Amino acid sequence: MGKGVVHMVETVLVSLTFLMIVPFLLYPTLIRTDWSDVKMFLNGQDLLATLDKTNDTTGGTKENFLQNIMNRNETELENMIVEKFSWLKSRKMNFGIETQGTIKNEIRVGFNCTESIADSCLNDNVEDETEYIEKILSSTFINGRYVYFRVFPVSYDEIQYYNVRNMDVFLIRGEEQRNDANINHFDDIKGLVDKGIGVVGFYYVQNINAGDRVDKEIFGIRMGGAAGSIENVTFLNDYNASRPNYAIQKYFYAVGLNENFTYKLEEHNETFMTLWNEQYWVRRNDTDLDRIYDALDLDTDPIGSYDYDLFGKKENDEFIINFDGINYEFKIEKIDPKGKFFIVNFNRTPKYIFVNLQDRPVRPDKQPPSIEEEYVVLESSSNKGALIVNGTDSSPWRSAWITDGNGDDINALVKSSLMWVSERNWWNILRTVSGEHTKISYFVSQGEEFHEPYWLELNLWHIY
Amino acid sequence: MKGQSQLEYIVAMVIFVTITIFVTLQIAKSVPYYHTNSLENRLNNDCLRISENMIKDSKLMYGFAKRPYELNYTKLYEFNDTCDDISNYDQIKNNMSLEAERDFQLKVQVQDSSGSTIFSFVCGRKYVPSQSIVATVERHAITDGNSTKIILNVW
Repeated sequence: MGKGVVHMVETVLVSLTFLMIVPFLLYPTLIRTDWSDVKMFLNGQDLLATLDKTNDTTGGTKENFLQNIMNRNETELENMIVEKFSWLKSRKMNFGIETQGTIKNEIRVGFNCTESIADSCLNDNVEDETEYIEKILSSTFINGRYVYFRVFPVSYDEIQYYNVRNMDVFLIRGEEQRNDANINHFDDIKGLVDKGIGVVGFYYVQNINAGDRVDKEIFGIRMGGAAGSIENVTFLNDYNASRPNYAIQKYFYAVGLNENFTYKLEEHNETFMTLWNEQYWVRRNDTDLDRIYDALDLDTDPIGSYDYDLFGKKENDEFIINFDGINYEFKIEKIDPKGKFFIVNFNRTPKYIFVNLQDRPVRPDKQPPSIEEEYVVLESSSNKGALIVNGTDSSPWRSAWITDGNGDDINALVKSSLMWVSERNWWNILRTVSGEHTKISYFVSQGEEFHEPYWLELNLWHIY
Repeated sequence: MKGQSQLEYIVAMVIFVTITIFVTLQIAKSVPYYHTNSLENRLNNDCLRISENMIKDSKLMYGFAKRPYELNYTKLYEFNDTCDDISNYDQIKNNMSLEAERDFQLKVQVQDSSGSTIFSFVCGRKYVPSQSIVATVERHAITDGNSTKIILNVW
């Protein structure tokens, strides 16, 4: 090595070191503090806590604003919040609100029937079938709000494109639809439940064969139990909320029945409730003659004339119908001021007994057999299952099978089952959430008719 | 001096001195930035701590709550009376555990459902300096069902 080589090496090394340091020294280091996020989180927390302490007297309720949040539509809710918390606009912030654990305000119900298969659709017509199901699934009023069922036909060819964003429940109604599902479309229906969509079967079961995988694997049912008539069908569990067979009976008493005064394309002054294969006539009444219907006249005998002591019954009034020696109690929940419909709830005591259900010995198929009872919602005195569930409140999907029957009380069972199997969440204020947002969760315990707790999630972000 | 008149030595020395001066200047430039950052952190901490106690605590002198997020008119009035006497300013700061060189301004406004102000007061310094580092926090609560806004500035 010649003289001075070491010095050259030193020079080169220093130059390299200098070049490596320069980027760190010349360009400022961005230090991000979290104060902006913390303050946004606190604002959101204050917003929710304040609303939780604000009484909401709308509709005569005794709940606070957050407890009634499901009772408001998106526009109303957004306007109220922005008006109350003007800093949202002044600070250019946007927000979305979602609830987790609550029954949806609109449940989307898909079904399939095939006109080429006899009796698959009502009158072999899809539109008639749609209308028939819509009549079964008339809206209901629970915990201070209406729950609607949106019914639409689904083709099995396109069923793969459905998921929880466009369908909540798939309904199989009647034996022909059941046979078609069992024979040809088990994979399609399995695909739906794998995506979290619930399934309800409302049909009579003559037999369950080895190939009936929808019955066996989706609904979890088997033939079993004593032969004979199905009588004294009632709810098996009305006390243990931890079991899967509890929730549907809880909903049933709040769902009640919804009857229309419009049928056969005309509006009438009278209509009837169908309970226990009997028709109980109801007449709308405008007691103070101001063209606002505020009462009902009831024929509870039913002998074709209205009971004198049941004239002019108003909202929240109770009445009794005696059937088979039992005095069943009912409560008028809603009377439409325009006289188009009314809603009546079943009272919890005495326990409601169903008679208009078709019978075959059906039981849940569970192992060990000792847990089968936890999945039977409705049972006859001879241990025949009339409504059997599969899944639990916390499982990724749920299903319910109901034996065939008709009447307003049976319709309430179907609606209650749809409510239970569908996913429990709702976008109260739907927004495309920014990538950088703060989420605040708040627990709300509420329910005027039954306990319906939920988590309320507020997403907050800066628009710019 | 042997070796020190060599070209390599001179070049190396110049490079070394340049780097040293450069790094020193960069550090000197960034020190105020970190100092400001540190001060902001402390002020924001104080702001949040005091505002949390105001809307959730019922026992402290400046805790206005009977329950978290539910404020008490009596406590608000009493605090306002205390604030009105300027000689209590240092005592209030002391109760809030604010350092002697800190200052604060507290605004409380209670509004009814129509947005009209039912009650309001300002406590602390009248004006917030524009040249100082100021931490601000806005909180919300309810006083007897009426919406209440609390804005706290600390510098």
